[in-house]
Amino acid sequence: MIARQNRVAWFFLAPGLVLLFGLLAFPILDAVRMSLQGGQGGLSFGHYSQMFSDPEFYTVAQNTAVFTVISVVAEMVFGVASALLLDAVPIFRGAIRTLFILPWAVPTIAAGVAWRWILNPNYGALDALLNQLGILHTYVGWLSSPTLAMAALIVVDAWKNTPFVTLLALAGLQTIPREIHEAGRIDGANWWQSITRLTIPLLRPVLLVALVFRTMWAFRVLDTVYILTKGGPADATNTLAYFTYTQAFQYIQLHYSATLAIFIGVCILILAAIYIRLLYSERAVY
Amino acid sequence: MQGTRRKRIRPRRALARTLLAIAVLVVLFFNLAPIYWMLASSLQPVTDLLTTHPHWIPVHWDLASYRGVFSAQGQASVFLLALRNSTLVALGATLITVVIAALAGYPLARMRFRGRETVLIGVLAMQMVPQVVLLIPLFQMMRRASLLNTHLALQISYTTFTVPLAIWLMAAYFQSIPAELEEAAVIDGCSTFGAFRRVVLPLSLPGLASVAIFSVLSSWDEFLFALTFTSTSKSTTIPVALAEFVGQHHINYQLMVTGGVLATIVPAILVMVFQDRIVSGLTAGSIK
Repeated sequence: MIARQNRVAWFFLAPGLVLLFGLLAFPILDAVRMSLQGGQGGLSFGHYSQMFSDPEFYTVAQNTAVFTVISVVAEMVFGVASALLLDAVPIFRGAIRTLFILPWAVPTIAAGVAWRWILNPNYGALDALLNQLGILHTYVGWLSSPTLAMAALIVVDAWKNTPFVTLLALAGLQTIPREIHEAGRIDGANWWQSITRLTIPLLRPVLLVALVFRTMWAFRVLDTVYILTKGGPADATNTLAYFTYTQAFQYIQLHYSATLAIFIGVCILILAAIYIRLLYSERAVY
Repeated sequence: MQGTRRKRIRPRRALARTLLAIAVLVVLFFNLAPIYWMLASSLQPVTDLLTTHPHWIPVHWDLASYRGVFSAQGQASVFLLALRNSTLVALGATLITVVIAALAGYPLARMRFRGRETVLIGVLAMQMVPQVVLLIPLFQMMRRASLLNTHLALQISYTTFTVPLAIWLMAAYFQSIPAELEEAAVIDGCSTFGAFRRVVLPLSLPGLASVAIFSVLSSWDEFLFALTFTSTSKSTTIPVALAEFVGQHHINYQLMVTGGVLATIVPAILVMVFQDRIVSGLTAGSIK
C-alpha cells in the first residue's frame, strides 16, 4: 500500500520535478559553475576576489541595502496603517479597498512610466503642483540628483508595493475577534494602546510574512531602476540586481555577472534562513 | 444619565469619524493620483501636455494617441503587437502553471510518501531564487534551443516564478476539501488519478482560479526575462515595449502615458473583479 502511494505520488509530481530540475536546479548550478570558472577552465575564485575588491560593487551593495531598509520600513508602516484605516471604515469598504489596492495592479514598468512623467523636470505634475501651492518656486530635477533619485526610487517602489502589505494585514485583522478589543476598551485602553498593545502583537505572524516577502523582493529591485534612472545619476541608484544585469548584457562580463548573481542568491538565502528561524519560534510561542 | 452620556460621546465620535475620512482621502489621493494623471495625460492633445501649467482636469479631450495605437501608426504600432504578445504569454504560462501545480499539489496535500518533506522544502526554495541568477543560463538555454524571440520561451521561463506559489496554493486548497469524497470514489473502483480528476478537480475551481489569477498578473508584470529573451516586435511584451519606448532620445510623452494606461487596463480589471479571490489566495498562502 505504501509502495503504491510512493509511485502514485511521484507520477503526480513528475511534471513539477522536471520543471524544478530543468529550469531552476540546473541553471543555478550552471551559474555557480560560471562564477567559479578560471582562465584555463579550471576552478578559481578569481571572480569572487574581483567582486570583493570592486569599489562599484560596494557602492551598489550599499545602495541596495539603503533602498531595501527604507522602502520595506515605509511599506510595513504605511501598509499596516492603511489596513487599520480600512478596517475602521464603516461604509463602502469593498470599493475603498479596491481603490487602496489599485497601485499593486499597475505593472511595475507602467508605474515607473507614470511616475517618470510626474517627476519630469520640465512638464511634470509634481513640480507644477508644488509651485502652484507655493511650496516650491523652481522646477526640480528629481531624477538628476543622487539623493532625490534614490528617494524617487523608494517612493515609486513603496507606492506600488504597500498595497501588498495592506492586503496581508487586512486579512490578518479579520482573524482577530472583536471581543479582544472590547475587553481592552473595558479595561480602559485608548485607541493607541489598543493598536500597539493588542492589534500589532496579534498580527505578528502575518506581519512577519509580509516583512520577509517584501525584503526579499526589495533586495532584487531592477525593473524600477531600469525605467526610472538606469542606475544613475552616477551609480546613485544602481542596485545589485541592476548591476548584475548590466555586467552581463552591457559590458559582456558574463562570469562576473554570474558571480554577482550568486552573491545576491546567497544573501536571499540568509534572509530566508532568518525568516524560517523567526517563523518557527513564532509557532513555538503560539 | 443616559442623555448626558450620549452627548459627551458624540463630538468625540464625530471628530474621530472626520479624522478617519480625511486619512482615507489622503491615502486614496496618494494611491490614485498617479494613475489618474497617467490616464488624464493620455487623453489630452500633446500640446496640452508640454506646459508648466497643466490642466488637472483635461480641457481638450483627444483620443489621437489611442487611435494611433490601434491603427498601428508609426511608433505606436509596436504596442498593439505587444498587447497580443503579453496576452498569449500570460495565458500560456498560466495554462502550464495550473496543470503542473494542480498535479503537484495533490500528493503534497493528501499522500504520505518518502521525500515529501524534501519536496516541500524544494518548493519553498524555488520561491527564493532571484531572476538574475537564472538569467544567463536560461538565456543560453533558449538560444541553443532556438527559442529566442518566441512566446514559448517566456511561457516556460515564467513558470519558474508562477509554479512554486501555485503549488503552495493548490496544496493548501486541496487540504481544505474533505478526504471522504475521494475515499468514496476509490471504494467505488476509481484509481487515485481518476478520483483526482472526477472528484477533487471540479471541487477545486476556486483554488485553480486563484492560481490562474496570480499567474496572469505576475506574467503580465514581468520584465527581465522578456527584455532578455525577446527583441522583436513579434514576440516582445508590453513592459519591454514600454521601457524601450522611454529609452528613446525624443520621448513622445503622450504615447508613453498611453502605453502605460494600456498596460494597466488588464491587470486593473482582474484585480478589481477578482479581489476576493486574490485576498483568500494570499491568506491561504501566508497564514498557515
